[in-house]
Amino acid sequence: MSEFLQQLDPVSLLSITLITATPLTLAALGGMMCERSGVVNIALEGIMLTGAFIGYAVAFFTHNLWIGVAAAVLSGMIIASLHAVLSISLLVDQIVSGMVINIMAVGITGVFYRTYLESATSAGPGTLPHWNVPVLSSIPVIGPIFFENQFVTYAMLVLILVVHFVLFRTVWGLRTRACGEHPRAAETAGINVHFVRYVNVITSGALAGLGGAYFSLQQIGNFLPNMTGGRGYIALAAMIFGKWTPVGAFGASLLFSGSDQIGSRMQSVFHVQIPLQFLGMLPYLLTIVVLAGAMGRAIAPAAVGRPYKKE
Amino acid sequence: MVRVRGLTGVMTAAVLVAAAVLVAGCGGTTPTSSSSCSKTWKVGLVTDVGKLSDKSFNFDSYKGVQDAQADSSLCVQGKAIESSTEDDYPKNIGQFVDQKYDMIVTVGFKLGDATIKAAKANPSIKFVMVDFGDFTDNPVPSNLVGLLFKEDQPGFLAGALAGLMTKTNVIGAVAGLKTVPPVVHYVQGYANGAKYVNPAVKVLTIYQPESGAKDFNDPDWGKQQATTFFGQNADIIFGVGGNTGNGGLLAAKEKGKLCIGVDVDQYVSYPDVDSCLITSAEKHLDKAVKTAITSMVQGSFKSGILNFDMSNDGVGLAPFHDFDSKISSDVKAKVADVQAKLKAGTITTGVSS
Repeated sequence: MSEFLQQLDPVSLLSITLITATPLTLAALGGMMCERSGVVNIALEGIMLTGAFIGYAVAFFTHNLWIGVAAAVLSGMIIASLHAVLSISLLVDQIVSGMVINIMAVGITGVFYRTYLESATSAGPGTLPHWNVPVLSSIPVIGPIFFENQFVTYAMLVLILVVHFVLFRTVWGLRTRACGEHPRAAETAGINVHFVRYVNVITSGALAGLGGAYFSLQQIGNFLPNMTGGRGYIALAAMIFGKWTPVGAFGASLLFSGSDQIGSRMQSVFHVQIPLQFLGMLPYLLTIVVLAGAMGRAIAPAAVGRPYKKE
Repeated sequence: MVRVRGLTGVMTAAVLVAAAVLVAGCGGTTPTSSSSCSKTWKVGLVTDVGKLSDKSFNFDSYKGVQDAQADSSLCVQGKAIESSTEDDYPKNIGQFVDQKYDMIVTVGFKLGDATIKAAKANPSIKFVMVDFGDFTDNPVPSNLVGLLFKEDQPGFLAGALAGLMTKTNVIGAVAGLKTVPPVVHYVQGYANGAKYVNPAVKVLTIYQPESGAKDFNDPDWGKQQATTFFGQNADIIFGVGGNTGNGGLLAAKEKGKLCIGVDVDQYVSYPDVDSCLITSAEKHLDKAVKTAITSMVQGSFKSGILNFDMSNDGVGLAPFHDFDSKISSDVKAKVADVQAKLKAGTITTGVSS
């Protein structure tokens, strides 16, 4: 039993799970702000990728990781504004607009990276520092999991609470949800639906942009073409699985990234003889099972995906 | 006095600069103008989607072409075309074909299919595939050669070093796809080499599950796996799998463990991890490419597979760099002994290719 525990190494398992859940959770929080106000945002993937790229590029040229993080957030907001203009003002189908952004992001970041950064000879900007929280990090189990992390992961933990508070405890949150459930009624009550949606879509861009910084600035210290590798879509699944609530989405993200880690351990530590392809499938299979309704019906905001036209 | 010395310094510098310019100027004119060449051999190299500046496969392969060009006895004129996308491969090979090149070198297994196709269509041109030799056709076209490397040997040697250096008796390997044979050869060689010098050592290995775009390109995944291995007490990580393996190296650097690179001297190709890199298990791509070119010039070109291993110095370990002073002479002697035995064939790696 003790050997099994040593092999499972639950503290390290949970610690890695929390770290890898970071971009999923951040993008899911972004998707949630967006969808709660009635706008579908499948552009999360493209926004994260752009954030990862711009963040790295800016950090590379300014030699400052923090300016890079700020740039990642800002670039996310800019791309999200594009989504907002297309889907809110120009009434473009929200899925189409999101997809356009995703495809564009892969192409543009790839080209700019290959042209300007790939052959750069100077050393990269490095990665964000590890911060051990005094006192708290020395608590057994809890300390190494929660209090020995890097900036983006800490920010994620705080933002879960912030988004929860904003959505369910503030007037803005009430207005947001009203716009997502019944925009006509909200408008009648004097809420500027377009304004609320704009702000929420752009906020989602900031969150997903920060998620992008996780890849290039927190983990790798480099940018690679298409380095987000579909995590934006898994984040959408986590958001739905979490029933459009911050804590639920965080739990779902932990489940997805944890299943990934357990799959890896089956191969490397426990030597379970399962074809690698099956282990690689685990998080995706889980997504399908979950979305197929194993967790009960997830009810989306009623007006999500429908452009709102003022009378 | 000081001023005079300073002036001499300036003058010396000026002379040196002038000399450098002169040399560079000479280099610019093709060395083929030398009268001893009855024929200029034109050699073209097509990169994979990595660029010549990759400090890795493409860079080292092209260095082989340049070395051949620098060797005035060969009368070689080299040129390279960089590929941006996979669609460029046949196009770029076609450019050299149209210009009637004598030999076309393609780098990496990704260009394999396009190269075999071009070789069949142009029997008068010699084709060289670096690190690829999966011929489905039999017989192999008489103008086509694949350069292959015995990856298990440098892997074995790297494993021996790791087995001697580990303090915890646990070492790890973070690898790319299991379906790519060189990756498996490296990893198995590494495990066997470590156990050869240190029977008590435990070797943790993980291969990346296939996922399309992220194959060999998921450093975050590699980092997580190495971190898991550290939880299992591993203190040395061998990264075998492009960016995926590099993630493993990065984790070792951040956690203050040791790491071993792959294919080329990663001290040069991935300077971020210099502070943890004890060595790299290398393929000497430049040497292999030059060998192929030389065989054409000397009329001894043979189609099929050209194997590179310890015995012809086609593979080996990179320098220890920053760790040169930290690795004991006893360990160095033992590693050298293993290398000599592999070279002489008195021990085998136990890896079937």
